[in-house]
Amino acid sequence: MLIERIFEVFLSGVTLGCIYAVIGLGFMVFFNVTKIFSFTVGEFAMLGGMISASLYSIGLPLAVAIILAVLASCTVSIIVWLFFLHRPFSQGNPAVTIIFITLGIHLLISGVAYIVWGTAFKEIPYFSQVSPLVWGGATISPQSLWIWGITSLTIIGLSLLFDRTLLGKGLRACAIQPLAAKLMGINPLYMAFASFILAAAVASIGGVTLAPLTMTQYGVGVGLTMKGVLAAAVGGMNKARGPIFGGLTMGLTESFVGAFISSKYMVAAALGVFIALLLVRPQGIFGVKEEV
Amino acid sequence: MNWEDIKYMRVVIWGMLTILLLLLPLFTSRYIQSILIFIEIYSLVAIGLCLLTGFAGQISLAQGAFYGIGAYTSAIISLRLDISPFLGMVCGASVAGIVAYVLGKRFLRIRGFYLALITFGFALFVDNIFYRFDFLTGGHDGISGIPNFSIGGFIMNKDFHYYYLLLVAISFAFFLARNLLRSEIGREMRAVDLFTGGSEIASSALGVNIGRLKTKIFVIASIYAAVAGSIYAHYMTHIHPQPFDISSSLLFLTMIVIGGIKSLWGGIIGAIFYIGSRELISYFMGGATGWDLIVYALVFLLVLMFLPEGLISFPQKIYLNQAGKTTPYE
Repeated sequence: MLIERIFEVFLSGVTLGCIYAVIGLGFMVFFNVTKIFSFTVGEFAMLGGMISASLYSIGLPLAVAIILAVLASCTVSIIVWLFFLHRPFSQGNPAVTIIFITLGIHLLISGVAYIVWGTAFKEIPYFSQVSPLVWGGATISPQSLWIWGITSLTIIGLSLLFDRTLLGKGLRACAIQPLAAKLMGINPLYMAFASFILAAAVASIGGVTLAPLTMTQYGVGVGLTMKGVLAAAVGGMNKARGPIFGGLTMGLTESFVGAFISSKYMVAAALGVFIALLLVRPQGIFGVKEEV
Repeated sequence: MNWEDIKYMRVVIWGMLTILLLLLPLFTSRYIQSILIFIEIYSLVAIGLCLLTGFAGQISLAQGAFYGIGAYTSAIISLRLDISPFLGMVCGASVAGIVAYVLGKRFLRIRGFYLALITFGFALFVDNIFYRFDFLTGGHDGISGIPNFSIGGFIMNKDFHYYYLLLVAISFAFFLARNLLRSEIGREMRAVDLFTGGSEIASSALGVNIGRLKTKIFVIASIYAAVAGSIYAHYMTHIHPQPFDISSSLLFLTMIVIGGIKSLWGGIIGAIFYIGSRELISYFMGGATGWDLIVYALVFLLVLMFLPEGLISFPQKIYLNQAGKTTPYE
C-alpha cells in the first residue's frame, strides 16, 4: 500500500516538475541569448491558460482553443517587443535597464489581464475525457500523460531547433559570444527578438498544459515566473538539462513533503531545499561558474 | 550664475526644505500625516535599494522580504520577550544583516545577476514562512497588539511622533549613504560601475574585491529595509504578510527606477511618486480596478525608455539642453 502511495506521489511530482521545467526552459532560452533576467515568462504562461479558457468557454473545440492561445501569446510577445524592447535593445541600453523594462511589461500584462478577466478563476477541462488510469496500483490522471508527452515534445523540439537549424545555431552563437556572432554576420538584435518569441511560445505551452490541473487567474504569472526561474537557477543555466533537473527536483520535493509531512509546509520546504542547494552550488548543478 | 550664488542658493533651499518638513505635521490632517509616514517608510527602504541597484549594479528582489523580516522580528521579540521595541528593531536589523551577508557572500562572487535569482527564491521562502508558520507569525491574520515605541515613560502613540522619528531615521540613513559614496567604498563602486566609465575587470585587476564590495552594500541595503519594517510594525501595531510579499519587492524596484537609480534622492522621489499616484488614482477611480496597475506600469516603462536616469534627471536634462551641454556620462 505504501509503495503504491509513494509511486503515486512520485508520478504527481514528476507532472508538476514537467511544468516547472518547461517554464524554466522558456526563461533560460531568453536569458542565455541576451543575459537578461526576464520577468515576463510567467505572464505568457498565464496568458496561455487564460486565453485558452476564454476561447473554450465561447464554444471553440479544445484543441483549436489551445493552439490559438499559444499563437495569441506569441502575438502578444511580438507586440510587446516592438513597443518596449526593440528600442532599448537596438540602442544597446545596459542590462539593468532592460531587466526593469521586462518588470514593467509584467506589471502591464497583469494589469490588462485584470481588466479583461477580473479576479475570477478560470479552468479548462482535461485534454481527454477518460477515467483515471491505474498503473502498478497507482492512479494517474490522464492529464499527467498529456503533460509528460507535451513536455517531452517541447524538449525534443527545442533541441532539434538548437542543433539542426540555422536559427538555432545563431541563437547558440549569440549565447556564447554576441560580439563574435555579430562579426560572423549574425544580428544579435534579431536573435534576441527570436528568443523572446520562442520563450513566450514555450512558456505558454507550459501554461496551457497546467491550466486543467490548477485553475488559472490573472495573477498567477509572477508565481510561475518564480518557479521557472528557480528551476533554471538550481539546475544551471548553461545546459537544457539544468531546468529539467531543477524542475523535477522542485516538483518531487513539493509533492513528497505535501503528501507525507504537511501540505502547509510544502512550498517552504521545496524552497528551503532550493536555497540550500544554491548555497552549496551557486551556479546551479550543471552550471559553469564565472567568478568576478 | 557663479559658484558663490549656487552655494548660497543651496543653503536657502536646504533651509526652506528643512523648515517645511519640520512644520508639515502642524497643519496637516491625520490622513495626510499617515500618507507622509508611508512615504517616509518607503523612502527608507528605497534609499537602501538605490545604493544596491544604482551604485553596486545588483538587483535584489528580496527588499520587501527584508522589510518584512525587520517588521516580524521586531514585533515577535518585543511582544514575546516584553522588551523595548527599540531593542526589537536592533534585533530585526541584525537578523536581516546576517541573512544578507550569508546570501551575498555566496552569490555576489559570481558574474551576472545571480543575486536576483537567489533573492527571488528567498523572497518567496520568507513570504511562505510568514503565511504558513502561524505558531510564530500568526499566519494570514498576522500579529496584533504590537507595542508602540517608548522612550522612558513616554509612549509614541501619535502619528506625528512617527513622522519625526522617521525624519530622523531617513536623515541619518541618507547622510550615512552619502558619506559612504564619498568614502573608499564609493570610489571603488565608481571604478566598478559601467555607467561612470568603470570596468569590473579593470578594477578587480587593480585590487578591488568586487564580491566583498557588493556584499557590504547588500547588507547595508537590507538593514535599511529592516529598520523601515520595524518602524512600520510599531507604528501600525498590527502586521500581516501581504505588504511584504514578492510584489512589494517588485514595487520598491519600480519606485527607485521612476525616481532615478543613480541618485539617493531617486529613492525618495520614487516613494513620493508611488504613494502620490496611488492615492490620486484611488481618489479618482475608486479602489483597485486594474487601471491603476496599467497607468503605473506605463509611466514606469515610459520613464525607463525616455528618462533612463529617472525623474530626478528631468530638471538637469532641461538645464543641460538649454545650455547646449551634454550629460556628464557622454
